[in-house]
Amino acid sequence: MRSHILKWGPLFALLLAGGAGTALAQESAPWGLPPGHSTIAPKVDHLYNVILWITGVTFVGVEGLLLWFCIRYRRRPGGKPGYTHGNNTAEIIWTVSPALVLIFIAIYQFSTWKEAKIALPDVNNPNVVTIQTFAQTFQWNFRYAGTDKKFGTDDDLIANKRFWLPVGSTAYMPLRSVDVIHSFFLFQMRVKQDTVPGLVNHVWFEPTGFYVAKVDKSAAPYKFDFKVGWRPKDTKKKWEGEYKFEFVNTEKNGEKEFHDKYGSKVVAIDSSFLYQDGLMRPSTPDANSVVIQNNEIRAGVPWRDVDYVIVPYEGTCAELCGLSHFTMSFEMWVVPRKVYDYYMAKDDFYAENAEEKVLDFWKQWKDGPIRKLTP
Amino acid sequence: MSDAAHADGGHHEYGFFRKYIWSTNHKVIGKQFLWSSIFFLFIAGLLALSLRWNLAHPGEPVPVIGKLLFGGEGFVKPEQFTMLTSMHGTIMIFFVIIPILVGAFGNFLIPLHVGTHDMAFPVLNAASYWVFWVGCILILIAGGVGFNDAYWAGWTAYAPLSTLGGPGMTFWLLAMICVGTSSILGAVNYITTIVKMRAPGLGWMRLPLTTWAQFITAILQLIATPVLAAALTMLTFERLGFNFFTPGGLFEGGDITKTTLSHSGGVVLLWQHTFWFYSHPAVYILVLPAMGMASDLLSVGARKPIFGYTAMVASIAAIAGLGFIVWAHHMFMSGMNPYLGMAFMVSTMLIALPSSIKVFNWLGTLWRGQIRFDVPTLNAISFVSMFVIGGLSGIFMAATPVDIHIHDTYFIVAHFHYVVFGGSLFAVFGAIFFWFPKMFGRMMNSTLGKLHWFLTFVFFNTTFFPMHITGLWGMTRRYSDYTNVPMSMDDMQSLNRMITYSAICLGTSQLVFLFNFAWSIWKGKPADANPWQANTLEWTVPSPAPEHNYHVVPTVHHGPYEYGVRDDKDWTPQTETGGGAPPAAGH
Repeated sequence: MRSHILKWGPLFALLLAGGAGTALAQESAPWGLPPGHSTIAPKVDHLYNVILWITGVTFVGVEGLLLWFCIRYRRRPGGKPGYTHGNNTAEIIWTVSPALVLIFIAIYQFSTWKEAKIALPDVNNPNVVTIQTFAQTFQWNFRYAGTDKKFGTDDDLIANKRFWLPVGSTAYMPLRSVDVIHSFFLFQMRVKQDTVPGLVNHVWFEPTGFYVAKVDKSAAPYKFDFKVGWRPKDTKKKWEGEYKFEFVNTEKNGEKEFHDKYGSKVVAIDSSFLYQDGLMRPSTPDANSVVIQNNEIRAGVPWRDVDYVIVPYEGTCAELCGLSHFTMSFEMWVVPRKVYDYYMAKDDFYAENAEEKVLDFWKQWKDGPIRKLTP
Repeated sequence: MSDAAHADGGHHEYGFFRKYIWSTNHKVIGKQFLWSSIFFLFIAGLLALSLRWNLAHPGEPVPVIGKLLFGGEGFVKPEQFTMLTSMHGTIMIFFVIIPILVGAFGNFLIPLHVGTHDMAFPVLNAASYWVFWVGCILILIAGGVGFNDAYWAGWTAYAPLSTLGGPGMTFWLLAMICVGTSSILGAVNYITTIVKMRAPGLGWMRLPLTTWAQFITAILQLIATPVLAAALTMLTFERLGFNFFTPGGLFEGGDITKTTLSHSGGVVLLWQHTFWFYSHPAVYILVLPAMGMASDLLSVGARKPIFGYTAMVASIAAIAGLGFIVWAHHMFMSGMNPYLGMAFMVSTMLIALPSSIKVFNWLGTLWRGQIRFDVPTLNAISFVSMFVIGGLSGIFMAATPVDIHIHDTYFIVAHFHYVVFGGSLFAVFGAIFFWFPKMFGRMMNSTLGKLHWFLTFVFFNTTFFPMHITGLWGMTRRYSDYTNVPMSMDDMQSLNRMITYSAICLGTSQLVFLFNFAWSIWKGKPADANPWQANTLEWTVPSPAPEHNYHVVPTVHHGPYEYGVRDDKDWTPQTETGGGAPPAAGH
C-alpha cells in the first residue's frame, strides 16, 4: 500500500505522459497555435497567450501543491491528522483572488470580440470586398457583385469551392445556408461563423499576406507525391527540397512586398490541378498552368518552367452537416490585384457544375437583409 | 448478489424475480443502474476506439472487431463514422455517466446516508429504472438499424439536420424521452427522500457532501429536463410533419436525406436554445455528484474533516444556479446576437469561481492530513488533478474571441473529456471501489485496483492531452478523414495515431477493472461493516447493507467528517457522541 511507486505515481505518470507525448509527436506535429495571418489574429492569439499564462501558472501551482501535499502528508505510523473545519481568511482569499482574475479576463476581451463580431465593416469602402456566401451540403458557393457593385444583376460572378481576394482588402461575407447548419472556418484567419438556415450571418477579416511554395527543379516533377503542409520555413519535413513554403507579408507594403521578391519569377496562380488526390503533384511536367511574371498573366506555361506556386488558404466546415461533412472544404486565394482582376474578368469564373437550384437561389438573394446589430 | 443471505427478518420473503429483477428496493435498483451503465460504458468505449482507429488509419480495416461491427472489409465508412461519434456521445452521457452517478450511487446511497429504509416512493423508483431500460433498448435500435438509417446527427442533434435522416433518428428521440422521464421520476424521489426522511439529528448541515450533491443535482434535473422534453417532443413532431425548427426557402432532397425540407416559418436556433437550456445544466449533472463523492473519499482518505464544508455546499448550489444562465456559451458562433455572447461570456467566467473554491477546499482537506493511499483516495486525488485541467481549459473557450478559433475543434473534445472522463469517471472508479463492500459484502482487490488506476491515469492523459494540440491546429470535431481534405491536417497525423494507440491502451486497461469487479463479487475478501473507518451512517450497518437498512432508526449526533478528533480511534461515526467542533465550517 505504501510502496514508493505509488507515492510517486502521479508525478511518474505525468512525466511519462508528457515524455511519450513529446517523443511521439516530435516527428512533425507542431505545438501551440498555427500561424495567424489576419489583422484580428494577433489580438486573438494575444488573448490566448494571456489566458495560457494565467491558467499555466494556476495549473503548476495547484498541481504542485496537490503533489506536495500527497508526499508531505502521506500517512505515517503514529501520525495524527490536523483537525480543522476550515479557515475563513484563507477561503475569502481564494474566493476573491480568482474572482478578480476572472473579471479581468472577462473585461480584457471585450474589445477583441467587438472587433471580430460586432464592428461590421463599411461596405462602401473600396478596400472592402463583399462576397455573398451560401453553404449547401456539401459545397460552399460564393458571389461577387461585379463591376456595377450591385448584387442580383447580370454581371455578378459566381464561384464555388474557392474564392479570390485581392491583397490588402477586407473580405466581408454575408453567410447563408440553404439546408442544414454549416460553419465557415478559416483557421489561419482566426475566423469562424455558423451559417444558419433562415438567418444571414456575417464574417469579415483582412488577410495580412499569403503563402508561396518554391518549386525545387532538381526533383523530378512526377515524384512530387508529398502532401502539403502549412508550416512556413519547415526545414525538417521530408518534403523539403520539393516545396518550401514562404510567407509573403503584404500587410504594410501591400503588393510591393510580392513584386520585389517574386516579380521576375514565374509564379503559378492556379495550382488547383496540383491537388488531385490530395497530393501536390502535376500529372505530367507538361501540364499547363496560368502564371504571373513581371505583373503579366500568361496562360499555357508548362509546369517545368514554374518557379513558385501561390498557395491558397484552406477553409473547412466546422459544424456536422451530414454524412459527407468531411469533404466540405474550400480554398481562399489571397492574390495580387492583377491576378484577382484576371479571375474577375473571366466569364465563366469558377463555378463547377453550378446546379439550377443554386442559380435560382442566387437570383432570389439580392443584396440581402443586412442585420443592424444593436446592443 | 449476496443480499439474500442477510435479508432481514420480519419481512415476507420475496421470490427471485421480485427480489432481484422487479424489485422496489433502492439498493437493488441502484445495482441495476450500475450493471446497465457498466455495460454501456464498454459499448460506448468500443465505439470510441473504432472511430479513433479511423482517424489514425482511415480506410484501413479496424482490427479484431472491424468485420463484426462494420461488415464487408471491416473499415469505417464515413456515414458509419458519423453514427459512431453520435452514438458514443449519446451513450456515454445519457446511458453511462448520468445513470451511474445519479441512478446507481444516488439510489444506493441516499437512503443509507439519510438513515432511512428506502426511497420515499419505492415503486416510482422502480419505474424510473424500467423507463430507463426501455430507453436502453431504443438507443440500441437507433444505432443498430443499419448504417444508412442509423442515428447520426451528433449527440446535440442540431435541427434541421436532425429533422432529416432515417428511422434511427426517431428511435433516438424516443430513447431520449425515456431517459428524460426516468431522470424526472428519480429527481422527485431524491428530493422528497432527502427533505422528508432524514434521521433524527441529521440537520441539513450534517449531510455528507455526496448527498448534498445528489440533492442539488436532483433539483437541476427536475427543472431542466422538462425543457429538454419539450424540445424532444417538438422535434419528434417535426419529423411527423409539424414545423418548429425549419425555415422556408431551403433546398429539398439532396444526398443527405430521404425526406424533404418542405417546411416554412421555423426557427433553427430554437432547438439550440432549448437543447442547451437542458444540456448545459446536464454538464453539471455529469460532474456535481462526482464532486460530492470525491469530497467524501478525500476526507476519509486524508483522515481529516472537509475543509470549508459550508463553502463546499454553497459552491455546489452556486454551480447549479449559475448553470442555468450559461447555456448560450455553446452558441457563440451560432449567429445569435454577439452582444448576448458578451453577457454569456461573463456568466461563464463567473461559474469558474465556485469550481475553483471547491478545488482549493479539496487541497485544504489534504493539507495536514494523514493521507492513506488506498484505491478510492488515489482515484479521488486523480479526479481533483484532472478536473483542474478540464476547468482551466474551459477558460479558453469561455473567452469568446479565443472560442472563435477553438469552437467545434478537438480542443473542445479534450476539454470535456478532462471533465467527464478525467473528472467524473475517476470519481466513479473510486466510488465503486469505496462502496463495493457495502453493495456486495466483499472487498475489491487492492493491487488490481491500483494497477487499473495507474494505467488509466497514464493512458487517459496520453489520449486526451494531445487533443488540445490538434484542436488548436484547427482539427474540427466531426471530420471522419483528414488525409485528403483538408491537407493542412497532415501534420497532425502522427499525433492522431499516437492518440489512437493510447486510446486502445486506455480501453484495454479497463478490462482490469472489469475483471476485478466481476471476480470480487464472487471471490473478494469478505468485508467488515466499516472497512474504511468512515463516519457516515451506511458504515454502521453490516456489509452488504441488509434489505431493510436500519433495524433502529439511527440518531445523528454530529456532521459526517469528524476524523482525527478522538484519541482511541481517528474516526467518530455519526451515530456516536463525542464529535469535535460543531459541523458548521470556518469558525
